Amino acid sequence: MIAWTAERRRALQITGVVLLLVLALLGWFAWYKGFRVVPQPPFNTADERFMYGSVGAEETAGIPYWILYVLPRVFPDKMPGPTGYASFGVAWEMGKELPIGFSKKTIGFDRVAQNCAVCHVASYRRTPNENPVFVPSGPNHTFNLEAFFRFLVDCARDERFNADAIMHEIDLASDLSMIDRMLYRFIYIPLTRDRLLARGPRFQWIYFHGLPKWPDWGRGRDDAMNLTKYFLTTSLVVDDTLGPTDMPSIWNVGKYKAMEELTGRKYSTRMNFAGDSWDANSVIIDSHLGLLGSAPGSNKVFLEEKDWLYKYLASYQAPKFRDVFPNVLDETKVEAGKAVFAANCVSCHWSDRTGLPPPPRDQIRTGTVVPVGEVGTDVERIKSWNRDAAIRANEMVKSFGIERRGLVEADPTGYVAAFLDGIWLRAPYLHNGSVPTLRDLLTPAAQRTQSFYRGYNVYDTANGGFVSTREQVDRLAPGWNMKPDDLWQEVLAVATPYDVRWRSNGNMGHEYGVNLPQAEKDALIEYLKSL
Amino acid sequence: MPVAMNDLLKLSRAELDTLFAASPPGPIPNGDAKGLAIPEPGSEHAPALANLARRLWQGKTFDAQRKMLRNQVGLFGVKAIAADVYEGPSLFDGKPCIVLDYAKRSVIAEPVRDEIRLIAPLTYLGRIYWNGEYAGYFALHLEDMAAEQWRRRFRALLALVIGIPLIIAILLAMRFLPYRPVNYVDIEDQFKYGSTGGERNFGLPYWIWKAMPVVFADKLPKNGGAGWEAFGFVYENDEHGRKRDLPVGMMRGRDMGIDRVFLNCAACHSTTVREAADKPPKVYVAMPAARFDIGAFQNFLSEVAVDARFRANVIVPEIERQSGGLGLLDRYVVYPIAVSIMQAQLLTIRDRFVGVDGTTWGTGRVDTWNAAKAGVNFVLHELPMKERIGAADLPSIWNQRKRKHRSDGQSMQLHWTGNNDQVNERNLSAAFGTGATPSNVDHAVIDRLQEWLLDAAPPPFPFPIDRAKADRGAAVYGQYCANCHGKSGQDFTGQYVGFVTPIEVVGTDRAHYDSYTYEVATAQNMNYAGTKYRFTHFRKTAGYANAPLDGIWLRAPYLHNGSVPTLRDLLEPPASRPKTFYRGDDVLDRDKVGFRSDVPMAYGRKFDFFDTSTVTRGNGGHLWGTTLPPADKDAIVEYMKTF
Repeated sequence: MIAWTAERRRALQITGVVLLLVLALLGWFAWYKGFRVVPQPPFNTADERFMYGSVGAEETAGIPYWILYVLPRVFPDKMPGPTGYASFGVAWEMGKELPIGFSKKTIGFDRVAQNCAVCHVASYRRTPNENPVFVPSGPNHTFNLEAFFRFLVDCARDERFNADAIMHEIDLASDLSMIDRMLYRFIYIPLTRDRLLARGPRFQWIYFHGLPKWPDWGRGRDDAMNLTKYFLTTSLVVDDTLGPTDMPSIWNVGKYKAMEELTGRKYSTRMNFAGDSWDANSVIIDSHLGLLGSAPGSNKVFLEEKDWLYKYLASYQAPKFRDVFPNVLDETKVEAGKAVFAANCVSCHWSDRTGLPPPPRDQIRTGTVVPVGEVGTDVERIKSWNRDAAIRANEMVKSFGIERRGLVEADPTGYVAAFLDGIWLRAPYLHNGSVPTLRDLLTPAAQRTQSFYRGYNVYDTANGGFVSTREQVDRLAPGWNMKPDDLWQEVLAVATPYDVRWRSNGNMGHEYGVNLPQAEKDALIEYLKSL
Repeated sequence: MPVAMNDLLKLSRAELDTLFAASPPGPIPNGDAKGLAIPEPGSEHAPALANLARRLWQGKTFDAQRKMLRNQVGLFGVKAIAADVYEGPSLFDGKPCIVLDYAKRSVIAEPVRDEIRLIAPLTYLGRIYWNGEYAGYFALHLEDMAAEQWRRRFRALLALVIGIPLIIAILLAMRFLPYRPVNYVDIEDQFKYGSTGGERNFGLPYWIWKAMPVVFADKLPKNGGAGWEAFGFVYENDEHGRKRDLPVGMMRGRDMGIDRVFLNCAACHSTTVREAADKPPKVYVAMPAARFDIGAFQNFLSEVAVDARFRANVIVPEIERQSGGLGLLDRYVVYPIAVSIMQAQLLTIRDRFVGVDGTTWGTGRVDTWNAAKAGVNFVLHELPMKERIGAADLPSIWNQRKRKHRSDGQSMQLHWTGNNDQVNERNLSAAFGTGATPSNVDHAVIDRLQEWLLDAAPPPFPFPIDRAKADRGAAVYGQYCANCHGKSGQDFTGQYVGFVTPIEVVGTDRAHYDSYTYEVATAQNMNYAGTKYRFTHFRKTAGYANAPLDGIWLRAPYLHNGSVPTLRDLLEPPASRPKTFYRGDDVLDRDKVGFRSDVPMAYGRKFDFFDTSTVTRGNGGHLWGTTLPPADKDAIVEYMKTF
């Protein structure tokens, strides 16, 4: 029997209080080093926020800053090239700590995740001797997303992903406190490895390769609907579809609604290359969820961010070729080309940016789905998505408590007739990026370029597209005081090969305007560049 | 009569004497008796002394039958030091007492004799004699000490188990943990010999540094230079006129228990100059290290790292020979480990530089940006060849304050390509070369050097200048040169000073320009991440920067790649500039301004042959002033002597 003397009770009380204090301190420490959210410093411009702002992915998909920092140093053999993260073709502004599309936020510790801009920022150079210009919301045609996905998982699978190897590099580059070093060693590094490894099962399909049946995506493309399938539905059953498409531009997304208002046909325009989604808000939500890789921590914050993105993107206007390359367009040709466009292209590609009066309301097809049998382009992308997947993805998003019009619950049937704003910067062309230049697109399919290189960002103003073939190099190098061989080496150093004979890479179809007289073609190209 | 033994500590010697005198001898004790030493009765130290004595002496164990005792000695109460026990007259008062006589039984305690008398039940007071002289008091209390002894033994054991490792740990920590960089009060000494903190990263153990040129003598450049001097390291004399132990540009710091040395800023930004062939060389600071072959040095370190002789049992004996013997710890633990750690480090650096060949750089030149690429872990050997060859001259680093202003109010673009306009980033970036990384760089030292370099100025031209001719030259210079290079060596104003001239316009060798790419510029901005020092100003530019010409007479050879030996040669059209010459001589050419460049060998040193037809060494471009009449050119050169 314990006698509850006053002293014993007092001792017990003191012990209890001390214990609570210790627990509270530990709790505070765990919160401070693991969960404390520090808002990002304010951005000066909306562009900056788009390029570097957090969309909330740090918490669920973020990688501890210093681990991300040293991965290229520990695993140079797993990078696509010798130049660190630059070799993934990320858009990186000089003076910035991280590439565009990489957001850094402190949640207990500094974490880095991706935002929309990682895929949606275009870059171009007018000559090989100048530095790139970055265009937010343009297509990132240089970014090798598949290589980046693989890299992270490959690192985690390698035995060098251990605290000793990683801390060695972190110690060389940083000045962390002893506590942070311990946290990295014993918590962040093993935890990050586990998290990256956990991605593995959902990524097994990006490890299929073998030409010509299963080509890599290459620079500037992503297999968007397979990503949706494996990350926005619970299915782990891997099918054998493959549908890499170009990173799209996402500027001026208000145009779809405007078009529906003009034609008076509600829900007539569709999003995504095969019209898989009903509206821009749905696409932003789904892509946004893809970045998070899981349900948002707070739907309110998530939807506020989505609203900001929509507002920012709705009115963002593509850069004009004329402003980028002053005095390059032949304005007479542009005018002539406008007439050719009016005669041949306007019903599928009219927009207010064409400078033409709208066709009769019921004839406007811009933004609507054109049956694949009609347009005739490669069918693989359509096969990569289906009604069942749409239903399951919609259910998943609904289960998060997020309302949206969502994905079209039907098997896709064709490809969306694209708005052509800023089309000059959206090369290569067609949904799968199988045609390197505007000029090539106006060539009969059988005579189009069979193989070329994607992801080099010097622009060929004559043909409308990026330098991607030896023919372009030979023609353009002298004008830039370069030996063609040297320029070609530069292209090969960064770009990834593309062959139209590989699966899903077909460049057939869309044979509109291919039989026009040469002068009309030239005029049309000139006009298209001006859009 | 006091009962508790500790009370005896309060009594004076006189009081104890009285107590002793008044007490009966008592019976001869038997069994354990706990002891209390009272060496200085009544003094204020008595309790402390008693406490101390308890560690050495616990008490006594009597054997009444055999009439003897043993003492309980030390923390563990070991039974030792025996004495005979009998009753006899006291030396104190002649009356009976129990005598504890060590004379016959103990060698150690032979002069000791104790006398005890019973002062309370089970308690004896003892008087100690040393050779018959009074030497203190003690007390004994008969009690069973077994439990206490075990407790004591346990505590002692515990103290040893924790204490000995702790003491060893403290000793080791004192030996190996402290970092003691060698710094100097005099700023020029600091620049030449002071630590930047970088020796903690790349630092070569001092004695290995000493041993290397002996062990690997066959790998030194064969140019006549002795030891490290073969790489163009220069040694000053100390205040006693003896050659210093370390060359200019070598810093030293004690780290991880050994002295470590490595290059500091002065290695690349100081060297010697002679006013004439028969004059002694003199060290000039902050000028380009025109004699230093850093590429060969880097290559040497890289080569020895994979040499079979890079082993403790080859290097340590040489260290012993030079040092006159190492301590046991150093001989068998510290240096053998240091050798293998250093080898691992050199191999790491070697690995990162694979693909870049330092031996092609040549004297006075360095491939800055490939070193930077290695620092951000580009895989150098996978880069296109043209990005892997970019050696250019080491620069002077005076007058950094004046470089913070140019005609548009911005800072001047620094480095040959003008790729950064921030002096502090320039300096931290250069400090990487001394091994200084974000975790070990000594910002206080760097700041101190930076502060000094803001206004450090080149010395004046050491020969007479023809003033009239220089004045004529000033006018021509003002017309043809000043817009890009400033009005004079002191006044850097000029519309284009500190701006970049496009590569097509300046027309000089483009290898260095091409080796620095946009990707490097962006990656460099991750350096010093997580600190307020993070780089934000590295840029890929369009060409080479228009540099101010302060101390230009010390900055030969000319152009960014050191392809033109003298100023006068630079004013000739490329076809008339020397096609080949020698670099590394330090005799000033007082007429054409530059260093003597037509002598292949002097002072037992062979110089570096420079062929302008080889890659990175082209001497074309920079045609300004090349069509002037010779008299004008001479005058311009005369004027530039004032810079």
